Amino acid sequence: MVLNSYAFASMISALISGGTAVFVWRKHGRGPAAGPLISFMLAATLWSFFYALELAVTSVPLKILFAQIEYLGITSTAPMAFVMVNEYINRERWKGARRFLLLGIIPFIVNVAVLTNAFHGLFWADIIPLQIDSFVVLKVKYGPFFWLNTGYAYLLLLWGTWQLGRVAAREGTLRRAQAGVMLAGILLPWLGNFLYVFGKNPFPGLDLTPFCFTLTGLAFAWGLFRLNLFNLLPVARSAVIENMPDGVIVLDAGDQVMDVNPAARKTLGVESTEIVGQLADVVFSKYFPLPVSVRQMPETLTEVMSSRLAETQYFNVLVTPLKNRNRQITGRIITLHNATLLKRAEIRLRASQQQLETQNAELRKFSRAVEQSGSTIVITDLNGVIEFVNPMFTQITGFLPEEAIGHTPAILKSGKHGPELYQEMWRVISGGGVWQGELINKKKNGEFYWEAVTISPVKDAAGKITHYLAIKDDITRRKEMEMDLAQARDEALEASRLKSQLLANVSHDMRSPLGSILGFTEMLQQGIYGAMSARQYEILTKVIQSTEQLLNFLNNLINQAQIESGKIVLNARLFPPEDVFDSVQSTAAALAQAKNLVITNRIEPDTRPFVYGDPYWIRQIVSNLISNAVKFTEQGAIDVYIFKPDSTHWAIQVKDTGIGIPEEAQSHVFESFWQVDGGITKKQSSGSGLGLSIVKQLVTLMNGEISLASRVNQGATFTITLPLIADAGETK
Amino acid sequence: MSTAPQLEKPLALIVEDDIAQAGIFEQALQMADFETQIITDGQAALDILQTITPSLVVLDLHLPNVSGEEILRAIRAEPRLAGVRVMLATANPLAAESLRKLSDLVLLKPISFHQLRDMAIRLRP
Repeated sequence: MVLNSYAFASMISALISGGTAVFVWRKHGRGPAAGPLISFMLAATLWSFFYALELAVTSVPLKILFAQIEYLGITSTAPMAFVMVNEYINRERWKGARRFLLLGIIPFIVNVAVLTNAFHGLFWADIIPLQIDSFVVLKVKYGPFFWLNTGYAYLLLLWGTWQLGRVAAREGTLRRAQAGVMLAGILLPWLGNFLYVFGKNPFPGLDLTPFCFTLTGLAFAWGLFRLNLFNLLPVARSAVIENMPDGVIVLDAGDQVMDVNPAARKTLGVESTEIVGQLADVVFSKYFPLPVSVRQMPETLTEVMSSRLAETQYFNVLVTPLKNRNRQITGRIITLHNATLLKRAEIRLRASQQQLETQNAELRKFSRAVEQSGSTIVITDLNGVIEFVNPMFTQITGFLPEEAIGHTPAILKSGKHGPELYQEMWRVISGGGVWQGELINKKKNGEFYWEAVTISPVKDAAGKITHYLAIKDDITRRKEMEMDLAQARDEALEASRLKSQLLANVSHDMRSPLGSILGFTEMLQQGIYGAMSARQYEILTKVIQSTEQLLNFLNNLINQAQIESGKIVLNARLFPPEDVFDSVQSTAAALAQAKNLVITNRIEPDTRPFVYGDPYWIRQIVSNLISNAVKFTEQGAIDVYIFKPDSTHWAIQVKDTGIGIPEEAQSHVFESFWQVDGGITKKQSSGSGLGLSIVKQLVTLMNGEISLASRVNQGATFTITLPLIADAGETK
Repeated sequence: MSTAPQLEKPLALIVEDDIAQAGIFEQALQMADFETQIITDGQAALDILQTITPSLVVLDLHLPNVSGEEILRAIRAEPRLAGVRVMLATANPLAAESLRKLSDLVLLKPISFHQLRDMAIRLRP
């Protein structure tokens, strides 16, 4: 073995390749494309190493053996470079074990051909040892399999070169640098090999290819660590940008549009050809409403509203300056993020928040109203268990909210109402109705109080009862007043009853002595107790008149008392009209007689045989009217006339020839204790003022009517009209 | 003040506890040509009606022991007394009204002397 300069150079190359492989493996063992790069470097190492050995030995068979081993590396380098390029440009379809095997078919055949060359000479047709200076190289003539290998390797390298060239031409600065490094790495062995194969080698007999491959490995390794060769995959990145939903617009340092991704094109509504090369501000003023020029845009998210589209859309715009190592701005990236959905959600959220706030305000209002209500408010669940009481509840009952909530309103039960009341209450409210009533309840301190209660069911939107609401007012004071009133009323009724009773007794007790006075006076006048002088007779007549007046007054007082106490029960029936005059004439007769007045009775035949009414009270009416007539008549006649004004009524008319009643007084004559004012009237009459009032009240009770026709000094005519048959009011 | 009944004049029985009033009634009835007998007690009146058959009874309603109403009903229930005329004399108008049908005449107290006399004449047999 001779260590010549060729062998030495080869060995150095092997060391560099091997070292690079180890270095890559240690620094970048799991990174992208590390496998192919390490494999590539190992293949170059193998090649260089055995080439060094081939050059070092002098024995031709040994040289051939080493050359054969070399081919394991030689045939691997080009496919490995191919895989690396694919990794770089991210050609997915060239990844995976099957592709890898496919790539290895030709290298395998070539290796077999190399190893078996002694038998067929199809790889090396002829091998001639050639002495160069102090060492021997093999000069060979190539067979078809050699060309197969070379062609295959060239094909792969050519393809890689072309791909890298495309990337270098198309992509940005970084990518261009990366692609350049890779291109250089891949072109070098090609050059070396070309020189060797085609005999243009400046070092005769020395194959430069393994050296070139070592340089390739170095270039790749440098690119890997300096230029992040495999970290940013341009196609992936480009795919991301192409497919991302956000619009991306790239500007150069002069704010000219360099690139637009599809999302941005869609947002602006333009084709990239329309705007690439144009000034960004011109483009935006046409297609998208940026608030300020691109340079003035802050480097933060800016919200922009665009109404250029059918419906208003919202965008978050971010302008990011791109800077080089020297902090100079070399361009800008504008991203347009369509935030419409988010914005709309935000608007909806704000609207619903506003609505919530309004509702809250309403709720607060209701809540305060309930809290501060002057009525007690209780809310229970469906079982009547208290869920809420307002402060008034505590104020009235003495039960704190925590003492009431969880219990039923039965804590207030006074025991003064029977179970039927509560059953009825439940029946009503559980049926969806409103129950109202007055309850006597018991406070915490045992005191009883009255409440006016309204309980209503609270229904949900579906009409299902969810709660019951009770609104209650303390009516204890009112109840006490009512009870006082009721008591007062009872007392008044009792007093009235006693008054009536007293009057009845007085009446009875006065009538008997009055009877005696009247009877004895009459007998005296009659001369039963001896002859009377004219003067004595006259005096006795005055006694009788006074007695009659007293009696009349007594009757009216009693009648009035009976009317007032509602004691009068009309006993209406059919009776002969003549009965009206029974016992009437006698009382008024004496008075009339004394005044020389004539009382006449007339009955229309068509009122016979019967008229209708309570004869007792009708006589009372007629008696009062005749007394009234006699009282105000000094001379002439009093006519009582019974007739039928129509088929369903009968009437009694009492007509006098007296002083009459002034028109202005006519409406008052039926009022109690009222008398026509004036000296003459006073002197001439001494009525109680009850007579006509009683007449009016009795006639009204009988569903009749009374009318008065009179003129001063031309007499008065009272007409009473009564129904001939019972009407509804009376049959009751 | 009782007078023995005489057959030639019709008998009027005066049932009245007020002596003065009874006296006035008596005077009026006598002037109407009746024999008169005064009874001042309700029970006494019932008793005497067992034995005599007066032509006319002037009956006060307000009497000791037995009320005038009972006496009236007793008279109307007794066939022997069917021909007896009854004149009610009362100070209670409503009570009088309720008994109007059972009686021949109702007179409200105070009763005029003349009135009683005239009515009695009409009721003579």
